[in-house]
Amino acid sequence: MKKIFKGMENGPEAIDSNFNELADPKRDQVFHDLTVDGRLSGKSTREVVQMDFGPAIFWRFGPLVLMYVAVEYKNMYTSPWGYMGGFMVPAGYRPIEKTVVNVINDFKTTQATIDLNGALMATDTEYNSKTMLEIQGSWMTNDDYRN
Amino acid sequence: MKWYFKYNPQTFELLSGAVYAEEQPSNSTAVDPAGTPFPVFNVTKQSWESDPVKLAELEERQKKQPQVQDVQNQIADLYARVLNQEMKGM
Repeated sequence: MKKIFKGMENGPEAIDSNFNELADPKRDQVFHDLTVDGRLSGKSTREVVQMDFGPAIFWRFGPLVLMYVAVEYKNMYTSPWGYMGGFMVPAGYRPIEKTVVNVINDFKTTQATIDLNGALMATDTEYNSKTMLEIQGSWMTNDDYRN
Repeated sequence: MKWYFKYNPQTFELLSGAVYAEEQPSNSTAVDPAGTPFPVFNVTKQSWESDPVKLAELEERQKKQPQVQDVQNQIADLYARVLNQEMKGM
């Protein structure tokens, strides 16, 4: 923003430049407090990310991420408290802190965690390939958007 | 445009908030820490390495995990024991 003062040269151009800067939709803005009397919506995206074992679906609404994976377990491997091979949350969706997600396998529910680096750590000792493996979770991200 | 992953300039531990930009932010790298447990950035090698203390703690936890036997194996084991007892009683 340029300062406008009495008698300045190119005053109209400076005003125009300031106005354009204010009107730029890509302008970064920081608010101390912001109250919205209505719906507050952010950019939302949906992406199917192909992993080693199959597709994983990621939704993002502002900083909130939802993930859903439903695959046959046969192409995945893990050990208790170990990273699940072939699974990686891509940049753009990674959590701000280690987060817990739900896992359904062999007709029982267990939990896993996702680290800051996007890897999924299994906490169960028993995963088997007889039934579908479902992983579902939601968390907050501080990453930039992927597109 | 590239992804950059930020690290703490004092501890070199990974920070949340990957940046997608044309210019590299300070204290960041284009090397993805994906797959490295407890990632700490090695500036000399320009690679992520695991924090040895935290990794050792994890390995200790892995060792303590009880080995759960498959249900079918448990039944087979139980059946063999019962059969063995019956044979002794004959």
